[in-house]
Formats: sequence, structure tokens, C-alpha cells
Amino acid sequence: MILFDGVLALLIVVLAWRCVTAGDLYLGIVVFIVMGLMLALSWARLDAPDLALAEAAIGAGLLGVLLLSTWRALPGHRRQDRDHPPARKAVRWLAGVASVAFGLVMAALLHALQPDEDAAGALALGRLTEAGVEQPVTAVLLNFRSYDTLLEMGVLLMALIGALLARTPLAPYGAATDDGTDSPLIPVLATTFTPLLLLVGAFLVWAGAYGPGGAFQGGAVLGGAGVVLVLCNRLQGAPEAGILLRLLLVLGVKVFILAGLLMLPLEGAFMAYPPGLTYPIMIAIEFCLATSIAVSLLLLFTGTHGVRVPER
Amino acid sequence: MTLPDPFALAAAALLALGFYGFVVQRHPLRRLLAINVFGNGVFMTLILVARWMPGGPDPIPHAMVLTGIVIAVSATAMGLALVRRDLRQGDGKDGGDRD
Repeated sequence: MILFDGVLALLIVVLAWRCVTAGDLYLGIVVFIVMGLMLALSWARLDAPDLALAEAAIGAGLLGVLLLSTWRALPGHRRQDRDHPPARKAVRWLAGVASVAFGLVMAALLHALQPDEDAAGALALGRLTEAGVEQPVTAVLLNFRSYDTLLEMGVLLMALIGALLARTPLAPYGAATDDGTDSPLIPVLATTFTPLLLLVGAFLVWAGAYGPGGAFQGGAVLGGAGVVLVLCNRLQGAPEAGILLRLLLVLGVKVFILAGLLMLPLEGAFMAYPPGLTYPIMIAIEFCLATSIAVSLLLLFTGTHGVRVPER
Repeated sequence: MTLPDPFALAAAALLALGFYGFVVQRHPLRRLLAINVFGNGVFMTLILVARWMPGGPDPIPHAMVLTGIVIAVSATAMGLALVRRDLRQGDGKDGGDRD
């Protein structure tokens, strides 16, 4: 396996090199997506299957879609480097030397650092039975450090609002309208893959309680199903968000805060859950988070305030 | 002297390449790519740190990376929205959404 690991690590480094130096921007984006998938593979090798799923679904999949759709939206002459040439040769050399030095120092540090005996994770693993879920990462995200996750949902919402504000003065970005949409593959893609994607997404959220999976991975897959529908012209961006969509967007944050507040008189602390109810509360929060994440990611893709079914 | 873990070397290389790309490239999309390469290096470092804990991978760095991935995508999406707005201003036409 050492050979496999070595080849994988080498592949990641080469892809990262191509990604930052590729002559063509489009090539750079495609290489970035491939690198994300290779990273997912390497993280699966490094005992982190949850993160491998998240990287494949979010880091490579959805981020790749966002990058490609932005590239496509740029006017043709802005897609190249003419207006933004790379830095001068002297700067490039200086940056090269500095990054090599930085990389060597980091490699030496990573090699020399010793594990810490009292890692907080040992505490988390030791008290896993109190968390209500068997999967340690989900337990940390939704119970032991739920405050972080709540704020993270806030960041996602703020990023969405920011992106929508930045885009609003421009023409809203609707569904793809080019010739590709009447390909015979489109109906198959929309009718066969979307239900499967929804099923896989829901399963990943559910699986987060006892195995690799969770709200973020599942939510990303559900959002991906929405992206497929938009690309197949079964959904399109709408300038206004309906009340239902707004509710779905804030559902995760709201249910999270409510669950924390409602248990306050019972347990005496924000986000402390009574022992018997922990499991149902975890599952409820997880599904609400996944829904909000899916809708937020879909709207980040369409760049519009809402989505609707196109009139036929 | 043990042999270094290939993934530790890859993490260091990702950090260095991300930094290099961010300094050298001037196109905003390329800079966003470089920031994400750097971020992936940080995630890989945290995953390596998580493996050191005796008794299984440490769930706390894993949770931090999961949070980090979502935050990185949110921040990049926000950056992409700004790029779209910035690069289309001054063109005087709205021809961006089609080829």
C-alpha cells in the first residue's frame, strides 16, 4: 500500500502544480476538480471517510460546478490572462523560492511534531455514549461542539446573502439555454438520476448517525440533485424567493437554536439535551441542517433569490 | 530516522503551491483556485494530525475539516459572485451568460 500512497500523493502534488500554473484557466479549473477527487481518495486512505465524502461532494463537485459556471459567465476575453498577466519574472522567482522554503519548513514540522497525549478527541471518544449518535464526527459536530456548527450555518447563510447582493444588479442567471438542453440524454438524466440522487442524499444524512455520512455530505448531494434539475431545465432561477423557500433556507439555523433554547429550562445550559431525547433531537437537527444546506448550495449555484418550475 | 509520510509531503507541497499561485497569478479566478489549494493543504495537515491520536482518528480535527470545507465553499462562492460582477463591469454589455 505504501506504493499506492506514494503514487497518490505524487499525483496530488502534480495536479496542484498544474492547477496553479496551467496556461488555460479552464484547464486549471478542471485540474482542480480532479485534484479534489484525488484528495477525497487520499483522505479515505487516511481514516477519514466522512471527509472524503464531503470533499468529493462539496469540494470537488459543487465547488467545481460553481467555478465552471462562473468561468462560463465571464465574457470571452476575460477568460484569459491578457488583462491579468502573471507577476513579473523577478516576483515569480522570489515567490518560488519563498514557497519552496515554506513547503520545506512545513514538511519538516509535520515530520517532527509529536502526538499530544491529552487530545480533546480522547475525551470526545470516551464520552461518545452520551452523544446519542454512534458516529464520532457527527457527535462532535452536532453535540459536543454544536456551537461551531450553528455558527457555520450562519456563515453559509451570510455567504449566500452576500453572493445574492453582489449579483442582483446584473441580469439574473437562469437555466442553461443553449442547444445542449434538447439532447436526448437530458430526460434520462433528469428522471432517472434525480430520484437516485435524492435517495442517496437522504441516506447519507441518515447514515451520519452511525457511519460515514452526515448533514453536510447529504445536503451537498441533495443540492447536487437540484443543480442537475437546473441544468436539465426542470428548475430555473427566479428573481423572488417564495415564503416556503425562505423558510427552508433558515430551517437549519432555526431548529438548531430552538432545540438549544427549548431544553434550556430542563438542562440548565444552552444546547444541552436531556439524555433520553438526544437521538431524536440529533436526527431532527441533522435533516433540517441538510435541507438548508441543500437549498443554500442550489441558490449559490443559480445566483438567484429563488427557484421555480419553468412554464411549458 | 523514519521515512516521511508521503501524504505529509503532499500537504506541505499543497501549502507551498497554494501560496505560490496566490502570489504569482493575477487573474481573480486563479487566485481563488490557489486559495483553495492552500486550504486543501491545511485540511490534509489536520487529517494527518487526527491520525496521531492513539485509539482511532481524533474526531475533533475531522469535525474542524468538515466545517472548513463548507466554509471554504461558502467563501469561494461569495468570491465568485464578486468576480462575476467585477469582471463584467465596464464591458457595457450583458453578453456574459452565453457563449
